[in-house]
Amino acid sequence: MDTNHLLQIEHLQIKLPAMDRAILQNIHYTINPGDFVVVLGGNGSGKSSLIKAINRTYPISSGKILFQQKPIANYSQADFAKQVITLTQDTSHSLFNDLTVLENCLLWELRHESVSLRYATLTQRQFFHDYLAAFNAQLPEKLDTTCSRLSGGEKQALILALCLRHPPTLLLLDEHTSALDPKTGHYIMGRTHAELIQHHITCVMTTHDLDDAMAYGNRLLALKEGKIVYQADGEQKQQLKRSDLLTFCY
Amino acid sequence: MDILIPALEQSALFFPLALGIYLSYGILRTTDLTIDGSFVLGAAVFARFLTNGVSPWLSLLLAILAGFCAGIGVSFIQKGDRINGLIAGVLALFILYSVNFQIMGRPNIGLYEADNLFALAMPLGPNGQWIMLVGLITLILLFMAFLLKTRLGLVLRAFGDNSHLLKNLGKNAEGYRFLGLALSNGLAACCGALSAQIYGYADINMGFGVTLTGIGAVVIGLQLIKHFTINRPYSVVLDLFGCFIGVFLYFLMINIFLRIGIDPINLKLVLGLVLIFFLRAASTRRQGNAYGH
Repeated sequence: MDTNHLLQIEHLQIKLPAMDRAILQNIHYTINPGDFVVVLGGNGSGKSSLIKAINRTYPISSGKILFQQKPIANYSQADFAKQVITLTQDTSHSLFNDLTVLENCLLWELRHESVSLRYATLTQRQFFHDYLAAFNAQLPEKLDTTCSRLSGGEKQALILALCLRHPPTLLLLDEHTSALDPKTGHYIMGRTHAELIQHHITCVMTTHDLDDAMAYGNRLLALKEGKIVYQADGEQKQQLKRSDLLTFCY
Repeated sequence: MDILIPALEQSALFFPLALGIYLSYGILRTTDLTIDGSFVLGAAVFARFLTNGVSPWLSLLLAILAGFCAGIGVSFIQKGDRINGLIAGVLALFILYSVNFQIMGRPNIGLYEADNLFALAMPLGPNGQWIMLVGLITLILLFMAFLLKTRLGLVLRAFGDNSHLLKNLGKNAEGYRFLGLALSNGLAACCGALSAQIYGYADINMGFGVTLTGIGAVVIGLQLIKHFTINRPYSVVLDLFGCFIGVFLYFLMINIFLRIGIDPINLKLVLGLVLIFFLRAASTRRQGNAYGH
């Protein structure tokens, strides 16, 4: 077996008690370090379920998922949190909405720190002021604003900044730009891509945006009714046209 | 003055419990009715040890520890959100009724012949016990302010805001529920023990409605503070101050109602209506829903 794989999904089946059919069936797929996999599929195709299987939200019914050659269930909560992050279009999954921007920064630091009895120092405040400026021009002035008062674009920029503060090994993106206006969405997507490359982060991204699906990623995967119906890698993916995607993926 | 002074005294005595409610209802955002039982538990443990010759301070400490245990117990019932916090609290309360009875051995225990916690303060004159009580409460207040100002306090607030995210950040979210509810119930037990000492007896039914009173008082206080400081970020000092104002206003209302001749039997009816008003006002604010149905 090639030990270079980052993520190995083997004959995965996910069945939820409330559903009569399996939401993912016999998924077999391997992801290497540095891969950027775009996942396409209609509503209910199992795209989000795949993300939720990888990030341990859904229990595995049969088959297995190995992350760095180790079953995902064998990681401690703290270890898994250091290596795998999920961003969705729903920013409330990734932010403490009633807490301020700075407080969110301090809490996200806990991915790599234990909880202590000291509070934020002035140097940390200055640090995050400068750090956030690189992601969004407004955020540094809003350190003491509660997150619920930020705009959608500011929230998503903040989340991106928080998650890249200590870059994860694997980033799971579940339509993370779909709730944004086209311009902001474009900015966030481009920024995400640049950071992925800079930090050598492996990424799995679900999307409905065919332009994004063609522009980003070195691999493409299409799901329908919980099964893989199409895949294209490298050269083959680059040559795909919009019409191909519509034919093969939906 | 003859309304203000009793109201202030009652507020001071009730304040530790209000702080406990602030922790569970305000910070962890869980409605924990166990407080009714923990209050009696504190009084029961305190009274039983005290009347058996244990020193008053040690009895108080044991009462607080008993409250911690009750908090840990109810956390176990709630664990993983398998049982709704409200139901878990009612269950714990139900169980505590028997436990409290077992501890006391009878429905009430008089403390007039036992040692007094406030004996040290006797040289200070007739108001000595109140001076000492205020001193004790200041200590508790400082502890709370310190706790909430630390990163640990921030994590407790984060638990109340989004416990799921806290877990996704790799933290043991359940652990913070245990800690928060243990402290909250410990404070309630402390309040129960102090109340038993001041009133001179512990009674199996003395906890009836204290959680509701506490929630009402804390909500009134926090609402007022929110009203005068719009869009402020969280401030420990302001919130704790708000809690005290809320408790004081609540007891002031009781004293005024009694003074203007409302039949004590109808007092809970009137106070209940006042609480409904404030709780409704708080919830429309929270949802920011101006045209709610």
